[in-house]
Amino acid sequence: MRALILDDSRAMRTILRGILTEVGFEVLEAASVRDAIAVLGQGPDFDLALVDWNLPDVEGIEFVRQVRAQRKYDLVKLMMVTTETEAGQVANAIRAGANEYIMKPFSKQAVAEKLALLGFKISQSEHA
Amino acid sequence: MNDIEKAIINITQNIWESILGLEVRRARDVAPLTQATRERSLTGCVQLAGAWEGSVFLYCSEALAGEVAATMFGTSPETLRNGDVEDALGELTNMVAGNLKIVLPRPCQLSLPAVVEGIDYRVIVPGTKIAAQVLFESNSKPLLVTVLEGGAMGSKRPSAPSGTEKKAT
Repeated sequence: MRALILDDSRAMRTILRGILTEVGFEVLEAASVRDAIAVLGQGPDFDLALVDWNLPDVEGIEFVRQVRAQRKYDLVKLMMVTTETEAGQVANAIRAGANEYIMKPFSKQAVAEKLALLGFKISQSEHA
Repeated sequence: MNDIEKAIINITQNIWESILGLEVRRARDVAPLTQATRERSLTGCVQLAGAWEGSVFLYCSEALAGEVAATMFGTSPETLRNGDVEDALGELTNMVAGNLKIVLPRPCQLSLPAVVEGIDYRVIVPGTKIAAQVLFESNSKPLLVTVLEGGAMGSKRPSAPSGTEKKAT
């Protein structure tokens, strides 16, 4: 399984990388939407992208829109990982094509549960 | 205690527990804070704009900032890279501000975090008043969370807090 983490904070990327690696993902990182699009385009196919909302170049939701505009990424699961807590923002992200949404701060357990909801096979022992 | 103070306590404890795995508790004794102001310290800042205008500040000693950054990076304070401490404190401030929106009028937008560091400095946002301020203790070191109300921003998402002033570094 391959995952892309899009977050401008290296600290947050490190935490998310630790969680994803522990449950079996190979992880690549990007700090901006432009970099994330470039990484995604390098392939091979990604299974998952974790997307922050507030970024220095354009908002993470724009990454969601750009990915969903390309059929070749239809199978990539997109999960917003953000401090944006407003219901309207959640609805906007889902409308744009995000599959899941998790608020910061999160626990390792919460991330694992969201991954399971997205259909990833995460064993109990791996995220306990 | 007002709603913002209650929210600061819940949010900060939640972040410290879930992201850092550290205990943070409300402190009554301001002596360690007084001492910390004489040492090198960092202040993370995120501004909110929209239906509610204001700023969220996290202030702590360089030592505590290094410890929480090391926890986030899964390393020791001595092996942190240049910019790691500021990155970590900025992200923690971002999480506090983002979650605080739950008790504030909506919609609000967050600025990107900014971090000030130095010795004997003041961060000033003109035209604001303190909406809430809570002193915590983490790893036996003070952490001060302050929410200022007011100080409307000229743009929706500034890259740095407008009107801030660094007295000395």
